Amino acid sequence: MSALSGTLTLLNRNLREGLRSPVIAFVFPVLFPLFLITLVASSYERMAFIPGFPVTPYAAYMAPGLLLFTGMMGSGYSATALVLDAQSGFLDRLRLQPVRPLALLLSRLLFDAIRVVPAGLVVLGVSVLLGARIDSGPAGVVLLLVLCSFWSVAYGGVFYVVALRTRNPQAPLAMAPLSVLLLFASPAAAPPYLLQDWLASLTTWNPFTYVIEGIRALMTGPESGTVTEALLKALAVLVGLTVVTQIFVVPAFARLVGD
Amino acid sequence: MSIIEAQGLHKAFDDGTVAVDRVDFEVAEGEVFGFLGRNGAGKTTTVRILTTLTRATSGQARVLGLDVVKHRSEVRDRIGLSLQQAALDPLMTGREHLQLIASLRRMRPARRTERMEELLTGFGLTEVADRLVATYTVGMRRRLDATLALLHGPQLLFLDEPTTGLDPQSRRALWSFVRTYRQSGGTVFLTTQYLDEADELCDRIAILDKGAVAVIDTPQDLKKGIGGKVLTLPATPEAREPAASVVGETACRFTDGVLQIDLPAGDDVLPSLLKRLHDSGIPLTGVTVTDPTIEEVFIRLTGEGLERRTQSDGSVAAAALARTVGTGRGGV
Ligand SMILES: Nc1ncnc2c1ncn2[C@@H]1O[C@H](COP(=O)(O)OP(=O)(O)OP(=O)(O)O)[C@@H](O)[C@H]1O
Ligand SMILES: [Mg+2]
Repeated sequence: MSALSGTLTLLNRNLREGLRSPVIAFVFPVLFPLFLITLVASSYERMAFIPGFPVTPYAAYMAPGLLLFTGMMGSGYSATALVLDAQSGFLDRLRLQPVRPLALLLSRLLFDAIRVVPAGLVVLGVSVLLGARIDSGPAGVVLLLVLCSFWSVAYGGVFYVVALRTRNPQAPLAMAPLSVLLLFASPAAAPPYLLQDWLASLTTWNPFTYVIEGIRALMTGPESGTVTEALLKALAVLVGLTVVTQIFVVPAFARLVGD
Repeated sequence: MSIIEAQGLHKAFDDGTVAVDRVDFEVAEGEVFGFLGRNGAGKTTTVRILTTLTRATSGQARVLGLDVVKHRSEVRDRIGLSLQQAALDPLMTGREHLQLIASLRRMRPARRTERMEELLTGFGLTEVADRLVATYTVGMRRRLDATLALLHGPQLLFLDEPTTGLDPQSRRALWSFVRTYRQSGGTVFLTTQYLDEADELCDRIAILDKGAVAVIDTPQDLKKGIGGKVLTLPATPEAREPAASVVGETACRFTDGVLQIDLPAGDDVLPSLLKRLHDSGIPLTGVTVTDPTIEEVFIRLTGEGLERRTQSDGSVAAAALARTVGTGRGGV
């Protein structure tokens, strides 16, 4: 109970702060995916006419990847904020209050989960206008957003590792291109059979691939197998990635708060 | 009863820097205890150890009778700390800071509101309470910092250089707050680089030099301990030589157009000194003779005055200078 109320109090602070300087945490996640879906989706429109292309129109194919992209834009915002708190001494002030150190970290992770929800809704809405479908209905929409939030947290872990290891608030910025790499080495923009062989085999090693396929299953149906199978795979990857990153984050954070 | 006890407190950082070097001291309940030392003397590190934020490499510290390592949360609950760099969030308002701390401390809503208003009013922050801290002046930040340290009603307050960067009026306001807090039964541990502040405010002072305590005493006894009075004379550097021939080279200091001469205790050299200066054609306008200040104690104990910092840290030196000129020395 006490850990929970502390977490919520701190989450409230994070949200308010995020809204007061909204560009990175809230605007980027909408801006870039919208830019991609309107520009790229229309210029690649004819790709969907290639024989064997799984989904038409092209915007419907690209929507899952872009939805997840919201969770990758603005990643590092929280990690940077955490390191800035440490540098300013604000973290010391918080440490003197009866609040578990874990609540400090948890409130940041929850913020990452929440901040992508509005962006996810906008991107989803625009995708639908451009021809994307959500076969799984309203429950699917909820699931889509949950996966999107979860992805934001799992992927964001990488940024915490970098920020906490270097204790440099700028360091997460240097990690931003990672999202582009993951995007290209995945079936986000084109199905693997249209990719170079080496790239296609790379996609099977990319965690992003499985989360995209989970989302795709909810929108236009599974690539292979059942929706449940695709979702379970996505979930396994998300849990795995979160666990792996947090294994590094939690001790680094504990060192930061001197515990 | 001792409210703070430090025994052999020692802190060496990973890079080998010894910040606090086997320090012993006790602070009695109801006392204002001053930790005086120049930049890097180890003031902040000591405060951080006593307030549970940093662990000592060796030695023991008990605060309110509780070991700062073993009873960390109890200590944290009962002390207030105002950090050297008023650690505030520029994107939060003053009131939101108070609300955040009140809520993390799980203060009851009724008491919370009452206490917040009381503190905001007391520190003259009511009007700016709903403005973002980014727009606050240094003085407002310091005051907000103090309200945050006091919110839960601690009986022991740590103030790390509370008046650095404040204008004279705000400094005096903070001093009067410290006195009020002490009168209401609180104990204060404060660090400062300002000798007049320590003199003015503290019941006892520890002078810290390179991590070690050089001396602990009351301001009065410290001043008594160094003996004679001090003569101050606005002059040119040429005035130094005739003065030195009377009182000796080491008793004379010339800085920034002011000659300071330590007069030996008891032995009254003043008439012969003045005569000698006069005979050498040194104008005696503006000469003053005062009791030694803590500054002189500091110089004698650490072999270095605050003025030496002029080259390395202009802003601090300027503040120190302003202070020397503006206060205390009776008409320099
Ligand atoms: N985290 C750290 N790692 C290494 N050295 C440190 C660290 N913190 C402080 N020091 C060093 O320890 C010494 C004492 O520092 P401290 O901050 O306690 O001094 P201070 O008396 O508070 O100085 P100031 O008046 O400038 O605030 C300095 O030499 C400082 O460089
Ligand atoms: Mg300090």
